[in-house]
Amino acid sequence: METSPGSSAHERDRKSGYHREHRERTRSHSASPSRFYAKDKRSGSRQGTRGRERESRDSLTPPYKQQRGWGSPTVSRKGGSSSRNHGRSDSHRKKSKERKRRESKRSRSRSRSRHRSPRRSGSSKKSKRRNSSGSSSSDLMDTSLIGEIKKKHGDIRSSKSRKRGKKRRKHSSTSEESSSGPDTLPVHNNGMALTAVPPPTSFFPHHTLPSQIPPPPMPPPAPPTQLIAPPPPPPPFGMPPSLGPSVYSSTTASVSFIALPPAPPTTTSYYDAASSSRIPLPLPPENKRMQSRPVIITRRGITSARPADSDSWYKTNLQHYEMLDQIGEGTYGQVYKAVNKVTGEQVALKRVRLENEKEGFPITAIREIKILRQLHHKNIVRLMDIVIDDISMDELKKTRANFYLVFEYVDHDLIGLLESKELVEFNKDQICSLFKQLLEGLAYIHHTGFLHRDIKCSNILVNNKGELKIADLGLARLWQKESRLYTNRVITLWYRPPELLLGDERYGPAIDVWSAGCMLGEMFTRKPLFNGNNEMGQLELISKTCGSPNPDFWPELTELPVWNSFKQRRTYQRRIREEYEHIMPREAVDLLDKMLTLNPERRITAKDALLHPWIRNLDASSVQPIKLPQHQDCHEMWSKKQKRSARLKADGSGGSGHSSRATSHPRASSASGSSSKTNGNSSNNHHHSHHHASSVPPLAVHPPHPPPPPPPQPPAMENNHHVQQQPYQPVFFK
Amino acid sequence: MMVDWIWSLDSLKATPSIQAGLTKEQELLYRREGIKLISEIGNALNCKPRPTIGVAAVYFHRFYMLHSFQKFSREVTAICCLFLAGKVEDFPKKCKDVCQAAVTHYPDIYVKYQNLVDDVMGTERVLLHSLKFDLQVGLPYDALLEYKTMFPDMSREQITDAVQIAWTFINDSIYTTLCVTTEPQMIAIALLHLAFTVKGYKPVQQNMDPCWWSADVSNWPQESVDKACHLVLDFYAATKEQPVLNDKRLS
Repeated sequence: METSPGSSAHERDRKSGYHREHRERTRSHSASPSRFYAKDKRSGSRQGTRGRERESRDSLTPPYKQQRGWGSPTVSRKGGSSSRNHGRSDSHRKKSKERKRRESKRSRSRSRSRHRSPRRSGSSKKSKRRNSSGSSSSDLMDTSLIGEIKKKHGDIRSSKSRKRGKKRRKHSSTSEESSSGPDTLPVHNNGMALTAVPPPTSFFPHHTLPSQIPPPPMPPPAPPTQLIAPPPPPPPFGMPPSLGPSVYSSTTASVSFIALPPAPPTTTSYYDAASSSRIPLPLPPENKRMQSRPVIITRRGITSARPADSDSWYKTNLQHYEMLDQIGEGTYGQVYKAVNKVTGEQVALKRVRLENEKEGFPITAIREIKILRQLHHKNIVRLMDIVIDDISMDELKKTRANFYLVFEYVDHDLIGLLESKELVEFNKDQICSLFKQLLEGLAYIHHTGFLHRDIKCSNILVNNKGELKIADLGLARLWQKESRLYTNRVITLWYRPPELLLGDERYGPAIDVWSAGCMLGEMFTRKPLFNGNNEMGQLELISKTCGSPNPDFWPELTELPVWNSFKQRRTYQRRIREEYEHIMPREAVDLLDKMLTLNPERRITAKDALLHPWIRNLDASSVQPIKLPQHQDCHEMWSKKQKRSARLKADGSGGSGHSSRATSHPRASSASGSSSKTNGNSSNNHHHSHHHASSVPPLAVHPPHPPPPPPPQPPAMENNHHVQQQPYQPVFFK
Repeated sequence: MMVDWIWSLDSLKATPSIQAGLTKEQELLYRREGIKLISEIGNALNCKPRPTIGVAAVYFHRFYMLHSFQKFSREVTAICCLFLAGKVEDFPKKCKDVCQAAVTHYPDIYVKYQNLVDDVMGTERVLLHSLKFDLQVGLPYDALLEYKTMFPDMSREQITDAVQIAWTFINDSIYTTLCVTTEPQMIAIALLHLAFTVKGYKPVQQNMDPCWWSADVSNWPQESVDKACHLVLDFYAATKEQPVLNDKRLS
């Protein structure tokens, strides 16, 4: 027999790694947050919730009986429906007549094959015959197993049905037919024409709920546009309302939904609860049939991504948008500002260039899509859709068509705002408000199990309403504690935490917190906190402010790969408070101090940072709206121009200051080298400059402003940091 | 019709391939052959059934719910699914390597493709478009591992044993159309049930539930679960007669 030797072999492999894998995967329960099937839930959950509501009403009855109770009049597949249909309307009677006719047909064919299709029983016989003759191939499933399974399974099936018959007689007085009775058609009581009901040839019997049970009082109908559940009870740390609570339940999907109007009694899945109470009814006709599907009440395992906006997902094409200007150069292609011709909504179209891709659709884009489809938060840039040139499948196969990721349009990026000092000013409350939003977005990302791995000012977008959005998740990835090594060549150098600089490959969410801490200081000083030229220089700069790394307060330090070769010229005392207390409010300095803790274990988490007094005590109503340059988006074409001239300058003169830094920066290598972040084998992010990346203030407005350095690029290679670091070490530390 | 990548069983009788003239048996055979290619070439590339091969198989089955075998050759689609699943699951393989492995293992099948790499990348665009970029796919393994902890009445050996058998069933279930009609969690339940049946274990049912899964999945009686199991058993029976790609040639 053919049991796919490969899979079985892997099966054996896996046994050893079983528990480890389990550990890994449990992480990702939380990582893949809201992914129950929206439509499914909509169709199914009405039943589910009804069941539950009933359960709550007569909670003394065991659930089994309840199910039987409301199930018996119509649910049973095995016959008996005729007797149950008596009290019904004429239409029902007609239906049942027709059903009977079909039943009898079926029963004739059934009686021949004893509950199994001729083909099946035939194959089973064959396999039995084989077993007796004894064939050889054996893996985990040896050949005799098939016959055994078939035999046992078959036997059990028939004995089960016998049992079922008994049971039914016991529990349901209305059903009198024997278990060997023919299958009946399912009865749909929701006013559907019988013709719409397929015969139960599927192994999903088309069960529905009986109409006899009075439908539970429906909650007041939701506004028709509202497809997503309204705000759950305020989550612990100021999470967005649009998220289902399931996002925050880390282990399974079961979440109690406290504040919903018809509160489902106990643990119910978010979707069931949400959908039953507020998905607009009635359902579209095509969904009706799906109601008869089995309903998953408690979700287990990882379900596939189910974004909240799935109804609008993948519905538009490029014709829906009118391209305006190019606003940036993204990781894998140009970024355009565009307008949705139908809704008038502004969007950013991030083109995925496929022309020069050797590896097809870039893995960074795949990663970003995959992750953004799972993240829904007001402080994370929203991926609204993906569109494609309007061409046929054949053309699509032949031509390297363009894909465009459609993002919500955000007017500015933070680096653009910070550097246009003359245009934009922040007071401390405004900074606090922005930073709070950053922490909320970050806490959400971490909660769902991801690491952003490229937090920096140019990846933080701010719209004219002062709302902050985290963008560019091309470097982000799912994080599982202790599961595997991750490349430490992530995060733009200036925002890179000490553990990464020391070669840590088992890092966690603390790396993003460090980056955010750097940003906190930068929002007040308006210049990067630590703008090192290279990794060791960066470490030196960090040490000057945050104190030298010391195993006394960071024991794990000694295990880091670079620690042994790391020689400090001198030891510094931590003087972060002294340095910043003149620039920042005292409480903000306290938070900065906690975020820029060298030891990642002791570094504050994003979640805890949200509870820090400075953030917590912010009175949102007192924050004045930030005066943002409404007339000028702070990421524009001339920023590119600016960069180009800076680059030219650097190339020409050998460079000084910022420009030379930019070119001598590891980015150069990351840009030219191969770059897949995980296996180091594809070549996708040539220029990891960013979506909306613009670090340059309007040139026309402020010509004298010196060109800032292009933000250093997140190097992407795996494990070659040792090679790259070598040249720098003697210069700085020996 | 399809909701969230779960089709009704009727849809299986009217797939694009069948509408274009294939018989149902032929289609199932073609699917098995495609999955066999994914599985074997995936093994050659050190891909694991979980997740890469499993995800690739789901892509493959979904793709042929939307396109016909007549229009898109299964051998190219198979390696394309494998290639994409590698990228999605963060174990990327180079397109060139995937194609090389394919040609090495199945020269008869792939020798006619002069520009296999281009074909794969072309199909990838169609695949992504067809999948609507719903790249995150749940597999039954995760649910199975969760169920492993939910039978306190069974001895450790018993449950481990059953889960391992169910795991093998899941590995092999990718050859069937189970994944386009059944949610991963329900596949896990069905095949764990099958494993219990094979070993003769009877999980203690709590709360007088009719089946041990009733608390998790309602409206799903035993006979439906049995039918799902039979899909996998039918696969074993069918391939025993005639192993998939026995002579390394497509039928």
